[in-house]
Amino acid sequence: MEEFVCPRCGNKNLKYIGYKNGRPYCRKCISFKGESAQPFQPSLSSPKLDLNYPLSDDQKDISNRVIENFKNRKDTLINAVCGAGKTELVYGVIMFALMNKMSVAFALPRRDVTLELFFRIKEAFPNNVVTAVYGNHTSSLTGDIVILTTHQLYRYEHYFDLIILDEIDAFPYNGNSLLNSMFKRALKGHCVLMSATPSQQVIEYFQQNGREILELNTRFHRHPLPVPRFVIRYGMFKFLFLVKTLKGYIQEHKPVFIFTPTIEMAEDLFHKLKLVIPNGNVVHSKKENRPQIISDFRLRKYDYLVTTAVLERGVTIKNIQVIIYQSDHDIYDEHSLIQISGRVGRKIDAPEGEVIFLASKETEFMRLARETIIKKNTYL
Amino acid sequence: MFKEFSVGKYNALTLYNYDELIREKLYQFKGCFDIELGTVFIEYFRLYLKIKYWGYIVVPAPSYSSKDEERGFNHVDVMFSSLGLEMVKCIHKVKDIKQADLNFDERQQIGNALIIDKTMELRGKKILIVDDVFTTGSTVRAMINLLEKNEPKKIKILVMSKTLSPQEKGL
Repeated sequence: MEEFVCPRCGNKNLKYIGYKNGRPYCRKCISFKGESAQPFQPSLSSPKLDLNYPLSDDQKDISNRVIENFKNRKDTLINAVCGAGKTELVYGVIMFALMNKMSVAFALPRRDVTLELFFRIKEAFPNNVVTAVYGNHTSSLTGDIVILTTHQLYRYEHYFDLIILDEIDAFPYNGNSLLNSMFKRALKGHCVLMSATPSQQVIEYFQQNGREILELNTRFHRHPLPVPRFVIRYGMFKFLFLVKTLKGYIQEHKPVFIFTPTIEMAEDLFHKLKLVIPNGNVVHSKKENRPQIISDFRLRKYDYLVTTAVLERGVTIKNIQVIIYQSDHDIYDEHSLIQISGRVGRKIDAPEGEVIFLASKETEFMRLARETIIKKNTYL
Repeated sequence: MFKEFSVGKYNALTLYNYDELIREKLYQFKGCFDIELGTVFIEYFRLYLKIKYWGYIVVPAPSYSSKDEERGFNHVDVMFSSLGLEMVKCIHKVKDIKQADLNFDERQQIGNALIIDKTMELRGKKILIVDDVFTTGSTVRAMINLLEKNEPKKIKILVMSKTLSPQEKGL
């Protein structure tokens, strides 16, 4: 039996080894093929941090502790609720790294949120070179701060002094050993991991020496997280309830997200809904003009948006109300239910909103999600 | 999906629609040089195809020899190699134009970019043109033009995937 260790991803499993012209190659990491980044060269300008809003005391506290950890070569896990203002928590450590001419990366599992983050970081650090790297947008790979999807990390070998990795529990990064290897390979220094719903495994890993977990259980505007309301209806009565509730929200000029478990169900529900309430649209990962639909929705062109988990994270819409259609479906574990609920009440001038779990029955995950949210609210 | 169509007066067959899955796997095969994936594309239909095209000579759509060297293999050869048919690579690319970079009008002019090796004996033979993706059909049509001059007995076309025309997409 031949021994083979892939120099790039460390794979030893012979199942993933292919042969070309008699020579072995690793098939596990083969799709991670592309240009590598040029060696890092810091820009000469002096860094500046522009904050839109001042940090709350809780946020300032965490930000300082993250900087301390980084100085002491410790990795940090930030366990913060949705809408806590996670991104702002790491501005301090980014600034520290920039002042010391270190290379910084901010990585996310999904492309949608990467572009939004890019604009925020560019605004916050106007004197530095900020580069966005994601699928089909890889012409420029270097900068003082690189905003990228976790997939793109393969281009950077032993490269970054600081990597901030947000939404570590999201698909496709979560549980993906290959992406994990690429992350470790790209990190030269230390990292800050962030999540509103970290897995038990990650929590245990960070409870060990040389690492720290920091918790932020309050939203930056100090209002409680909206607690989901269960509405149990059988069969088509769910649809009737949906229409009635939707009409109510529209009268109050409140935009609505209606989450469905699958793309098929999203299209199906939208077609039915459109007949009764025409001013809406549907988005999912297979919709190519998704960014356009979302920005139209922001501008209040549509009264409601039927959507899949693609909008589960990262999106902030003022005064949004959320209905999860068939929240008893297998696909909804307590993490995704909590993330979706976290879309509501994120703005300081609209800190409240309704989250409705519409289902045929209560599931354990629905109960756990509601319990966790209620528990987090006791920290206020 | 598995569908018969025609190119001019000749019968053609496609195994798959060129969708996201095919595009992804083709990228892994052609772009990332994953040779092991090559024979998988036609595997499901292999026996049917061996019977249908029994006795045919395969003429593959040409690709750039420089790319083939970099890749370490020719993707069309590998893709259809499991048919076990005689392969005659008599058509070559003249200029170095990449098909995928051209817009529609320029694509149709590719007739200038192919030449046929006149020494190959194709008169009276049954010829099977093969390619991995069929879009406008300009490559296949150019190949037909060159092959017809040799007066083969039959010409048929087999492509692994075909992009849907606007009508087929229901637009």
